[in-house]
Amino acid sequence: MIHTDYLVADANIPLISCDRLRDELLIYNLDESATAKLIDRFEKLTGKKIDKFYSINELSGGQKVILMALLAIYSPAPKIRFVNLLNALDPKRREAIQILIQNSGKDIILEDKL
Amino acid sequence: MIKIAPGVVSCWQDFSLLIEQELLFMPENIYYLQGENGSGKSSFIKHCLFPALESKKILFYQIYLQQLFHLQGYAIKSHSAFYKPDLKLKSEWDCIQYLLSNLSEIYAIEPKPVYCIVDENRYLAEIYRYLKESGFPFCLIFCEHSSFSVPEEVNLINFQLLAPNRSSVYATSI
Repeated sequence: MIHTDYLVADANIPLISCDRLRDELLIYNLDESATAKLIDRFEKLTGKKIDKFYSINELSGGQKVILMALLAIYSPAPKIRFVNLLNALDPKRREAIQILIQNSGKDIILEDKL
Repeated sequence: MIKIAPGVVSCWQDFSLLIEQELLFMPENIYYLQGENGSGKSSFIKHCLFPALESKKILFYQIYLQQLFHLQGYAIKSHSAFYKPDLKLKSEWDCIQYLLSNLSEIYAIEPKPVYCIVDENRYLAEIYRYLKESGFPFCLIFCEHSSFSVPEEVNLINFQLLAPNRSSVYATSI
Protein backbone atom coordinates (compact mmCIF):
# COMPACT_ATOMS: atom_id res chain seq x y z
CA MET A 1 0.00 0.00 0.00
CA ILE A 2 1.35 3.45 -0.89
CA HIS A 3 0.84 6.00 1.88
CA THR A 4 0.86 9.51 0.50
CA ASP A 5 -0.84 11.32 3.40
CA TYR A 6 0.49 12.06 6.85
CA LEU A 7 -1.18 10.77 9.99
CA VAL A 8 -1.95 14.00 11.86
CA ALA A 9 -1.53 13.78 15.64
CA ASP A 10 -2.51 17.07 17.26
CA ALA A 11 -1.47 17.53 20.89
CA ASN A 12 -4.30 20.02 21.39
CA ILE A 13 -6.73 17.10 20.92
CA PRO A 14 -4.53 14.14 21.91
CA LEU A 15 -7.09 11.36 22.23
CA ILE A 16 -9.95 10.55 19.91
CA SER A 17 -11.98 8.21 22.11
CA CYS A 18 -12.82 8.86 25.74
CA ASP A 19 -13.08 5.48 27.43
CA ARG A 20 -10.60 2.56 27.35
CA LEU A 21 -7.13 2.36 25.85
CA ARG A 22 -8.29 -0.49 23.58
CA ASP A 23 -10.45 1.98 21.61
CA GLU A 24 -7.40 4.13 20.78
CA LEU A 25 -5.44 0.97 19.89
CA LEU A 26 -8.16 0.04 17.39
CA ILE A 27 -8.22 3.52 15.88
CA TYR A 28 -4.43 3.53 15.40
CA ASN A 29 -4.47 -0.12 14.24
CA LEU A 30 -1.85 -1.38 16.70
CA ASP A 31 -1.33 -5.15 16.77
CA GLU A 32 -0.47 -7.21 19.89
CA SER A 33 3.27 -6.76 19.52
CA ALA A 34 3.06 -2.99 19.01
CA THR A 35 0.61 -2.75 21.93
CA ALA A 36 3.05 -4.52 24.25
CA LYS A 37 5.83 -2.12 23.18
CA LEU A 38 3.56 0.88 23.75
CA ILE A 39 2.49 -0.23 27.24
CA ASP A 40 6.09 -0.94 28.22
CA ARG A 41 7.37 2.39 26.86
CA PHE A 42 4.52 4.32 28.49
CA GLU A 43 5.43 2.85 31.88
CA LYS A 44 9.10 3.73 31.37
CA LEU A 45 8.21 7.31 30.48
CA THR A 46 5.55 8.00 33.10
CA GLY A 47 5.96 5.35 35.81
CA LYS A 48 2.30 4.50 35.24
CA LYS A 49 1.10 0.95 34.55
CA ILE A 50 -1.69 0.77 32.02
CA ASP A 51 -3.39 -2.04 30.12
CA LYS A 52 -5.91 -2.28 27.29
CA PHE A 53 -8.77 -1.67 29.70
CA TYR A 54 -7.25 1.38 31.35
CA SER A 55 -9.59 4.38 31.39
CA ILE A 56 -7.61 6.99 29.48
CA ASN A 57 -9.60 9.85 31.00
CA GLU A 58 -7.69 9.27 34.22
CA LEU A 59 -4.42 10.34 32.60
CA SER A 60 -3.08 13.87 33.10
CA GLY A 61 -2.99 16.24 30.12
CA GLY A 62 0.72 15.63 29.54
CA GLN A 63 0.31 11.85 29.86
CA LYS A 64 -2.44 11.96 27.22
CA VAL A 65 -0.01 13.70 24.87
CA ILE A 66 2.70 11.10 25.61
CA LEU A 67 0.18 8.34 24.88
CA MET A 68 -0.81 10.02 21.61
CA ALA A 69 2.83 10.23 20.55
CA LEU A 70 3.41 6.53 21.31
CA LEU A 71 0.20 5.48 19.54
CA ALA A 72 1.31 7.30 16.41
CA ILE A 73 4.92 6.09 16.56
CA TYR A 74 3.97 2.42 17.11
CA SER A 75 1.13 2.55 14.55
CA PRO A 76 1.72 1.23 11.01
CA ALA A 77 1.64 4.81 9.64
CA PRO A 78 4.97 5.57 7.91
CA LYS A 79 4.38 9.33 7.78
CA ILE A 80 3.30 11.35 10.82
CA ARG A 81 2.69 15.05 11.33
CA PHE A 82 2.77 15.99 15.02
CA VAL A 83 1.16 19.34 15.85
CA ASN A 84 2.33 21.23 18.98
CA LEU A 85 3.69 17.99 20.41
CA LEU A 86 6.55 19.23 22.55
CA ASN A 87 4.86 22.21 24.26
CA ALA A 88 2.85 19.99 26.60
CA LEU A 89 5.83 17.92 27.77
CA ASP A 90 8.27 18.53 30.60
CA PRO A 91 11.98 18.64 29.59
CA LYS A 92 12.66 14.98 30.50
CA ARG A 93 9.72 13.60 28.50
CA ARG A 94 10.36 16.04 25.66
CA GLU A 95 13.88 14.67 25.22
CA ALA A 96 12.71 11.05 25.49
CA ILE A 97 9.99 11.54 22.87
CA GLN A 98 12.44 13.32 20.53
CA ILE A 99 14.80 10.33 20.77
CA LEU A 100 11.93 7.94 20.02
CA ILE A 101 11.01 10.03 16.98
CA GLN A 102 14.61 10.02 15.71
CA ASN A 103 14.88 6.25 16.13
CA SER A 104 11.46 5.44 14.68
CA GLY A 105 12.68 5.31 11.07
CA LYS A 106 9.50 7.12 10.02
CA ASP A 107 8.95 10.30 8.06
CA ILE A 108 7.91 12.59 10.93
CA ILE A 109 7.18 16.31 10.80
CA LEU A 110 6.97 18.40 14.00
CA GLU A 111 4.78 21.41 13.48
CA ASP A 112 4.10 24.31 15.86
CA LYS A 113 0.83 26.03 15.15
CA LEU A 114 -0.90 28.93 16.89
CA MET B 1 -6.75 35.75 49.93
CA ILE B 2 -7.13 32.04 49.19
CA LYS B 3 -5.77 29.51 51.67
CA ILE B 4 -5.21 25.82 51.06
CA ALA B 5 -4.79 23.84 54.26
CA PRO B 6 -2.02 21.25 54.64
CA GLY B 7 -2.97 17.57 54.45
CA VAL B 8 -3.65 14.77 52.01
CA VAL B 9 -6.12 15.48 49.21
CA SER B 10 -7.48 12.48 47.35
CA CYS B 11 -7.96 13.66 43.76
CA TRP B 12 -8.73 10.48 41.86
CA GLN B 13 -9.17 6.84 42.85
CA ASP B 14 -5.45 6.24 42.39
CA PHE B 15 -3.90 9.67 42.90
CA SER B 16 -3.46 11.92 45.94
CA LEU B 17 -1.60 15.12 46.79
CA LEU B 18 0.30 15.62 50.01
CA ILE B 19 0.14 19.35 50.77
CA GLU B 20 3.05 19.87 53.12
CA GLN B 21 2.30 23.39 54.34
CA GLU B 22 -0.48 25.95 54.20
CA LEU B 23 -0.50 27.58 50.76
CA LEU B 24 -1.57 31.19 50.31
CA PHE B 25 -2.67 32.72 47.01
CA MET B 26 -2.88 36.50 47.27
CA PRO B 27 -4.09 39.14 44.82
CA GLU B 28 -1.30 41.05 43.05
CA ASN B 29 0.93 37.98 43.15
CA ILE B 30 2.03 35.44 40.54
CA TYR B 31 2.22 31.71 41.22
CA TYR B 32 3.91 29.14 39.02
CA LEU B 33 2.74 25.56 39.52
CA GLN B 34 5.88 23.66 38.58
CA GLY B 35 6.25 19.91 38.18
CA GLU B 36 6.70 17.13 35.68
CA ASN B 37 3.91 15.60 33.60
CA GLY B 38 1.49 13.70 35.82
CA SER B 39 2.63 15.33 39.07
CA GLY B 40 -0.85 16.67 39.84
CA LYS B 41 -0.83 20.34 38.83
CA SER B 42 -4.20 20.23 37.06
CA SER B 43 -5.61 18.00 39.81
CA PHE B 44 -4.52 20.61 42.36
CA ILE B 45 -6.38 23.29 40.40
CA LYS B 46 -9.56 21.20 40.24
CA HIS B 47 -9.55 19.67 43.70
CA CYS B 48 -7.92 22.38 45.85
CA LEU B 49 -8.00 25.79 44.18
CA PHE B 50 -11.51 25.68 42.72
CA PRO B 51 -13.26 24.69 45.98
CA ALA B 52 -11.30 27.40 47.83
CA LEU B 53 -12.19 30.02 45.21
CA GLU B 54 -15.81 28.86 45.12
CA SER B 55 -16.13 29.43 48.86
CA LYS B 56 -15.13 33.09 48.37
CA LYS B 57 -16.64 33.72 44.97
CA ILE B 58 -18.46 36.90 45.97
CA LEU B 59 -15.11 38.52 46.81
CA PHE B 60 -13.27 37.80 43.54
CA TYR B 61 -13.68 37.33 39.82
CA GLN B 62 -12.23 34.13 38.40
CA ILE B 63 -11.07 33.30 34.93
CA TYR B 64 -9.88 29.79 34.11
CA LEU B 65 -8.26 28.57 30.91
CA GLN B 66 -8.06 24.82 30.97
CA GLN B 67 -5.40 22.52 29.61
CA LEU B 68 -6.34 21.04 26.19
CA PHE B 69 -8.40 24.13 25.52
CA HIS B 70 -10.44 22.98 22.52
CA LEU B 71 -13.52 21.83 24.48
CA GLN B 72 -13.61 25.05 26.48
CA GLY B 73 -13.12 26.88 23.19
CA TYR B 74 -16.27 25.27 21.76
CA ALA B 75 -18.23 26.30 24.87
CA ILE B 76 -17.01 29.90 24.58
CA LYS B 77 -17.84 29.99 20.85
CA SER B 78 -21.35 28.70 21.63
CA HIS B 79 -21.82 31.39 24.28
CA SER B 80 -20.65 34.06 21.91
CA ALA B 81 -22.82 32.77 19.05
CA PHE B 82 -25.85 33.07 21.32
CA TYR B 83 -25.14 36.39 23.05
CA LYS B 84 -22.89 38.23 20.57
CA PRO B 85 -23.47 36.58 17.17
CA ASP B 86 -21.70 39.38 15.27
CA LEU B 87 -18.33 38.50 16.82
CA LYS B 88 -17.78 35.16 15.00
CA LEU B 89 -14.97 33.78 17.17
CA LYS B 90 -12.56 31.58 15.21
CA SER B 91 -9.22 31.09 16.92
CA GLU B 92 -8.23 30.15 20.46
CA TRP B 93 -7.01 33.70 20.99
CA ASP B 94 -10.43 35.06 19.86
CA CYS B 95 -12.03 32.92 22.60
CA ILE B 96 -9.58 34.11 25.24
CA GLN B 97 -10.07 37.73 24.26
CA TYR B 98 -13.83 37.20 24.52
CA LEU B 99 -13.42 36.06 28.13
CA LEU B 100 -11.01 38.85 28.97
CA SER B 101 -13.17 41.57 27.46
CA ASN B 102 -16.17 40.16 29.37
CA LEU B 103 -14.06 40.41 32.51
CA SER B 104 -13.23 44.04 31.71
CA GLU B 105 -16.92 44.84 31.25
CA ILE B 106 -18.00 43.40 34.60
CA TYR B 107 -14.95 44.84 36.35
CA ALA B 108 -15.95 48.33 35.14
CA ILE B 109 -19.36 47.86 36.80
CA GLU B 110 -18.08 46.38 40.06
CA PRO B 111 -14.30 46.29 40.66
CA LYS B 112 -13.03 43.21 42.54
CA PRO B 113 -9.69 41.37 42.52
CA VAL B 114 -9.29 38.82 39.72
CA TYR B 115 -7.96 35.27 40.06
CA CYS B 116 -6.73 34.08 36.69
CA ILE B 117 -5.76 30.41 36.37
CA VAL B 118 -3.99 29.37 33.18
CA ASP B 119 -3.28 25.66 32.78
CA GLU B 120 -0.72 25.36 29.97
CA ASN B 121 -1.94 27.84 27.42
CA ARG B 122 0.14 29.13 24.50
CA TYR B 123 -1.21 32.64 25.04
CA LEU B 124 0.01 32.96 28.62
CA ALA B 125 2.29 35.93 27.81
CA GLU B 126 -0.55 37.76 26.03
CA ILE B 127 -2.95 37.04 28.92
CA TYR B 128 -0.42 38.37 31.42
CA ARG B 129 0.07 41.51 29.30
CA TYR B 130 -3.69 42.07 29.05
CA LEU B 131 -4.14 41.74 32.83
CA LYS B 132 -1.20 44.04 33.50
CA GLU B 133 -2.39 46.72 31.07
CA SER B 134 -5.98 46.53 32.30
CA GLY B 135 -4.97 47.68 35.79
CA PHE B 136 -6.93 44.91 37.57
CA PRO B 137 -5.58 43.80 40.94
CA PHE B 138 -4.96 40.24 39.76
CA CYS B 139 -3.50 36.97 40.97
CA LEU B 140 -2.09 34.89 38.13
CA ILE B 141 -1.69 31.14 38.76
CA PHE B 142 -0.20 29.21 35.88
CA CYS B 143 1.33 25.90 34.76
CA GLU B 144 3.76 25.91 31.85
CA HIS B 145 6.53 23.72 30.45
CA SER B 146 8.03 26.27 28.08
CA SER B 147 9.80 29.47 29.10
CA PHE B 148 7.72 32.33 30.46
CA SER B 149 9.28 35.16 32.39
CA VAL B 150 7.85 38.23 34.08
CA PRO B 151 9.61 41.19 35.69
CA GLU B 152 8.08 40.69 39.14
CA GLU B 153 8.70 38.04 41.78
CA VAL B 154 7.13 34.67 41.06
CA ASN B 155 6.05 32.32 43.83
CA LEU B 156 6.83 28.71 43.03
CA ILE B 157 4.46 25.94 44.01
CA ASN B 158 6.40 22.71 43.49
CA PHE B 159 4.85 19.37 42.64
CA GLN B 160 7.15 16.46 43.30
CA LEU B 161 6.16 12.93 42.37
CA LEU B 162 6.77 10.62 45.34
CA ALA B 163 5.22 7.66 43.49
CA PRO B 164 3.14 7.39 40.31
CA ASN B 165 0.04 7.80 42.49
CA ARG B 166 1.23 10.45 44.95
CA SER B 167 2.86 13.88 44.82
CA SER B 168 3.98 16.32 47.45
CA VAL B 169 3.18 20.02 47.10
CA TYR B 170 5.20 22.81 48.70
CA ALA B 171 5.94 26.49 48.15
CA THR B 172 9.21 28.30 47.51
CA SER B 173 9.95 31.62 45.84
CA ILE B 174 12.30 32.83 43.10
